[in-house]
Amino acid sequence: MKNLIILSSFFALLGFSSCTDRCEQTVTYRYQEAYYITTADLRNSIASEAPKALQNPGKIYAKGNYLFINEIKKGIHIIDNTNPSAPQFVSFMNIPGNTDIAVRNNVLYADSYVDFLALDISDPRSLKVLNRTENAFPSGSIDGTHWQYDFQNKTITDYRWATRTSTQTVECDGGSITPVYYEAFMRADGSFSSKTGAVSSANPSNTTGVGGSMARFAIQGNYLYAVTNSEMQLFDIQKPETPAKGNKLNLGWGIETIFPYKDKLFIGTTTGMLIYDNANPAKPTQLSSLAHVLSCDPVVVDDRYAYVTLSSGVGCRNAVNQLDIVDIQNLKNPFIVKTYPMSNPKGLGIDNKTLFICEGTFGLKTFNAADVTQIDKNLLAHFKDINAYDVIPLGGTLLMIGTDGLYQYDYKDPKNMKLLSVIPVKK
Amino acid sequence: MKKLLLILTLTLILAHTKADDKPFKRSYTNHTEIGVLLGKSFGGVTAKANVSLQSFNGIRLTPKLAVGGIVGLDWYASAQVIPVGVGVRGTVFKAKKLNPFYGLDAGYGLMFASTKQENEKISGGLMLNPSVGMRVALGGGNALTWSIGWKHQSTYSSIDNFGDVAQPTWWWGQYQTETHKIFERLSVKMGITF
Repeated sequence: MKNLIILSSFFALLGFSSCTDRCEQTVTYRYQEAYYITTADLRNSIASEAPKALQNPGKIYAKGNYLFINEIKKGIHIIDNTNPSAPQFVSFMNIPGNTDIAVRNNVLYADSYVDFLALDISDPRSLKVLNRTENAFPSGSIDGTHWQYDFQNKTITDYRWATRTSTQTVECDGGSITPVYYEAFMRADGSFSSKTGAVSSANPSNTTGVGGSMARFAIQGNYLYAVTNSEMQLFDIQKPETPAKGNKLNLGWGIETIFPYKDKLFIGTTTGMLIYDNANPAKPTQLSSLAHVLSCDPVVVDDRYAYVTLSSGVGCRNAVNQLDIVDIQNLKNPFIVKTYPMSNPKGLGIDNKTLFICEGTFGLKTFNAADVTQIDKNLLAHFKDINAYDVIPLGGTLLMIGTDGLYQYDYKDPKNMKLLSVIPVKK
Repeated sequence: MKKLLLILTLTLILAHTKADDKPFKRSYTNHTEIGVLLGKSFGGVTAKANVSLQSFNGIRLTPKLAVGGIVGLDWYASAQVIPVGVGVRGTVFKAKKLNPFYGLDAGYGLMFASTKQENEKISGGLMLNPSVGMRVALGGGNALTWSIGWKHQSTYSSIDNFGDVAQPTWWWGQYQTETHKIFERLSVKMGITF
């Protein structure tokens, strides 16, 4: 009996001394990991290589029989698209920091972090650097990351998405548990502005390619306009092989996309659309602006209307997901005609009143936009189960890029679009 | 630590399960308790006291030993656990007014009474509750009990907030958490048994 009491007390004491709750939490989170590139290394890395598979495609560009697909911050895939049902990879141009493409004649313009390159594409199997404008861009954003150039150290600081796992002790009972540490500072992303296939040129013998709706480069007349987060840098490309750095305009912040149309420039920003008069290409002047909710918005334009998609996502907080139809008959006074709710619209394209809208993970939608007030009632097709980021309508063939790959459709009969080919992304 | 207590408890049980003189009729027994779970949280900074209820329903195998199933309700601040499992109840003497007893419960904590956050998956874990106490006979085979013991309860939670990798969210990023909580408490209970 005595033993039992002693035993029990011992029991109790032991029990009490260890009566502390123990709680542990393991968190896996995405964050931005910095890495550095010197300008010397950057300039030494430009090279033409054997073709590779798509991994992280960005913007697309079409010129003649060729397709140029940006591999985000890595370079450009060159694809022979003579037969859209069977596109062929030709080569890969290694260009660190590349996010945009534009082509005039046989010159391909590409950015490479701080530099602006002019490449000779007369032999698509082997591109050569014709000209390099150094330090044309001081910083840039894409895919939620932002890079910056340090002039003194001649080094570029860039970030890549990485995941990290860490474990720590947390409060056990009561009180909310917030994850250990997570950071995801998102900047205004290189959201793409939509461009319809406008082949414009002052000189009829000049041919310019067509960019998708996510481009920051636009060629109009003898100028290439490159928008960064807050500025527009002009390049005089009268002599395409030797671009000359021209004026730089300060546009405010949150600039995302540029769309030239006739002698006007439509600029998409996170807070609205700006319309510039480009009568004097060396010096565009602002005509008007149309403010909207903080979103990301590519713009495409035809004669009467501007079609703007607003979406949520990287750098697009407080966002709505919708399509705005803007009447631009009077450019000094644009106004919204109608707004349509959408799922998560990104790039778009318009060709002869057929409107193509990329809805990210929600797929690709095609509408008959003959009556802009009845667009939602005129859905021609909805391709689900594909990721749609941006499109280029090329007079019958639609090029669509997304995280799954490059899809080509025949849209000569918009009510019966046919899938021609797919270049898949290597997963 | 855990092992030591288990060994002690098992020793006590074995010491008292001897064969009996006359044939013993097996009968149903119930032991229902209410009590508190006392402990400390977050490295000993905050004191905790939570209510616990439990019911043991079993068969008296010998005059001093019963085995059966247990079902309970433990109302912690951040989780409401329903432990279910097996239990053992043993007394030191065959029949006496004041009879010390011991109990050992082991089971799994069900979490359906707990509230989940958005994107959260919760699941229960091991429950262990050895205890010792005193049985005060009331006559007719009924008795009041009080006991002290140690309660161990594990719970698991995971939150997947990675969302769409292609479309990261603005400030709070993407993350995934796995949380393992172990409640270690002193259990002080009062009950009745019949």
